[in-house]
Amino acid sequence: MDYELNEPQRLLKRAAADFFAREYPLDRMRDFRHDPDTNERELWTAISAMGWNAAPFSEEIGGYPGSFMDAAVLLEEMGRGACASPFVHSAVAAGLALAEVNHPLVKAIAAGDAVTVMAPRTLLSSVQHSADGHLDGTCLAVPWVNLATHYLVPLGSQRYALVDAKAVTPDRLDSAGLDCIGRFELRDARVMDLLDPGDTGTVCGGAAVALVLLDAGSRSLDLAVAYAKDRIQFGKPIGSFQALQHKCADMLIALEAGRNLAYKAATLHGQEGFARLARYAKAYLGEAVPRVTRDAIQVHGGVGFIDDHKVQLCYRLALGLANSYGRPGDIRRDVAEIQIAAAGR
Amino acid sequence: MDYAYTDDEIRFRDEVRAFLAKEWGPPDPVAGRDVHDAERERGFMSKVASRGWLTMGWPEEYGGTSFSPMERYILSQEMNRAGAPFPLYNVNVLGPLLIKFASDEAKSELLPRMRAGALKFVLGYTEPETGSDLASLRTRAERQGDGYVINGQKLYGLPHPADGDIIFLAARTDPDAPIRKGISIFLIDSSAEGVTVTQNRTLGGSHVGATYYDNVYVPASRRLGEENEGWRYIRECMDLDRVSGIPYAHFPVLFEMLVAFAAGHERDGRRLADEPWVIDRIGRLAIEVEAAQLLQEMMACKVYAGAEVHAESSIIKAYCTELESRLTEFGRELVGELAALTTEAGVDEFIGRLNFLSRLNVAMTIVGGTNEIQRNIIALQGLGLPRG
Repeated sequence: MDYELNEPQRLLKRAAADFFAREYPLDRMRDFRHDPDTNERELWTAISAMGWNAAPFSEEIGGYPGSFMDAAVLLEEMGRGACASPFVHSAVAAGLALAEVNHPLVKAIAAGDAVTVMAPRTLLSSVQHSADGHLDGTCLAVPWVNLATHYLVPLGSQRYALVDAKAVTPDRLDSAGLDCIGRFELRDARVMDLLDPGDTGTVCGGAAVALVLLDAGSRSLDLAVAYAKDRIQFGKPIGSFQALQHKCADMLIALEAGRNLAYKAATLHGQEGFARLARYAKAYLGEAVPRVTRDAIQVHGGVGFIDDHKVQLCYRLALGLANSYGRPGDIRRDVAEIQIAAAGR
Repeated sequence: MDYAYTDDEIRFRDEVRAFLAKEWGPPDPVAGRDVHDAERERGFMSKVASRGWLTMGWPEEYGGTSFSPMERYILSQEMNRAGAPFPLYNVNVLGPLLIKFASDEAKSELLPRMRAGALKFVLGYTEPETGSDLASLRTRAERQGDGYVINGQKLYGLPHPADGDIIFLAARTDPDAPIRKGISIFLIDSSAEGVTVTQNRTLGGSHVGATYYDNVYVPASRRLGEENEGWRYIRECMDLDRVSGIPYAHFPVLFEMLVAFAAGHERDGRRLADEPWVIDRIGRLAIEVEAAQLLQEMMACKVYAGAEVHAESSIIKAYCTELESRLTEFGRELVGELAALTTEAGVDEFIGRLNFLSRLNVAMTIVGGTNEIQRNIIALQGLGLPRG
């Protein structure tokens, strides 16, 4: 057992932390909303230029030596920085799903030349796969339609159709989250490939989202603590009041409980137990972090509710991601079914 | 970063499990916490002692045995998982503390008994007027000749002190000094003249002792370390106790029992495990039990690697004791109207045991620093928030 990152991971973490602190501090992320498309494209170009998109992949396909654990370091810093980028969706979720079936598009994703996202199955989506192999229907809440070059459109439970983004005309939808999301219609759209990566994309996406959420929550707690130390009411810093101290303590307890689930999942990628821990981490943090980031606003009081306050970014990040790649309730049901079946044996 | 045990650690864990299966019994979240069978415990303890497990990590000249820190952690977890008695506090805290600070007489008298597993300590900290605010304790120790005379009262000795036990007593030696500077620690025989022990039955069914000290004479050789330095030794105990205060290895066993009950019982022709609310709770608790295990393992790993830890043990204490409360609460909902029945009702063994844990758990969020005090520690030491 070892609780520390190795040296390359520490360096990578520092580089990523420096990048966000210097180039994209929270104030700048907050201002994205004034011209989201331009800002997001610029940030994504910078991230791609640093080669981060290769991180999740094995070295044979141009990835980093630590693969998922290296990506985990980046995902955490992206969470801390409230970073709005397709990294989770393209490099990790869709990328590792494509890697699972040895699809050649992976190389372009790792190089930052392609952005592939999985369209989620949502309440309102419906896609028909016609006899001649074309697709018709509507995809909703698709992440990063402004930057995507390819889509993985779900057919049935685990099969996906790979579609060229040029085949559709997406609309960006107004979202309270940080990720760009949109909608598109498929009209007799050509399928480039039919893939069966199992649940790899969902599981890897869930593990990645857990890590992003973890550090977004942690950043929101840092902001809350800093504010509680500074803000004077009744002649004292509000952080000296036990009601706020215990609220902050509860935020830390929730984050620390989730931290090990997310870290252990990251260390197990490619080994037995990965999917189980990834689901646990996603279910736990998908529920805990919206609560933690909301509490961070609560500690700030009224000023935190004003759109200009950066503490909101963490809550908005959580709103956008908490239900991606597995709703917490669905995961709990699946986890329980496994436990109950084991007890019945 | 790595969460896996090494092959050697897994081998050691299997060795301990095999030992426990043979010498104690199957994993059980209640056994050993409920009814105490002193004879059986003594026999078991001498077998534990002969393995060298009671002096793990002690210096070699005091009979210390060389086990790795993770092996020490694994041993304590396995003992807890099996519900076996194990004087973890002696091994990890009081042994090393006595070796460092006790007089030669006290060491030669007490350490052999600790090595043999034949010495119980009772912590004499709490008083009627001092609970969480320990430093304001009032029990007095006044110099008299070669020793001290003790007068005062202590509460909550756990278990209630029996003859031959040693009370680890915090008393005030300098009433004029600032409160943390006038305390000393004494190692007192519970059968010494002037010590009276009364019993209080608890919600958990066990008894805790109240001890009264009426002009109890204690020789200076039974003072731990320096006079008026008691607060330092209490703090040192807390430091040494960061890992030993982790008695939550029985959660997975308890959880499995709950799932098995849900899978094996029907109500109105419907299996409990098919109820949507039961399914959701099982999923939630499975994840939380895993989170609790990992919190403990990672802190042990950090502490033993010499890393600085701040509020980790408080986080674990608050999270785990409250999780145990959620586990037992779920169990009571499964059992429904029968949940108030005790073992003595003779209706169902599982229900009685669940009822026992539901009562015992009430103490868990109080002892060792209430969970509110833990949250204060988390806020002040973990997050650096200002004192109120």
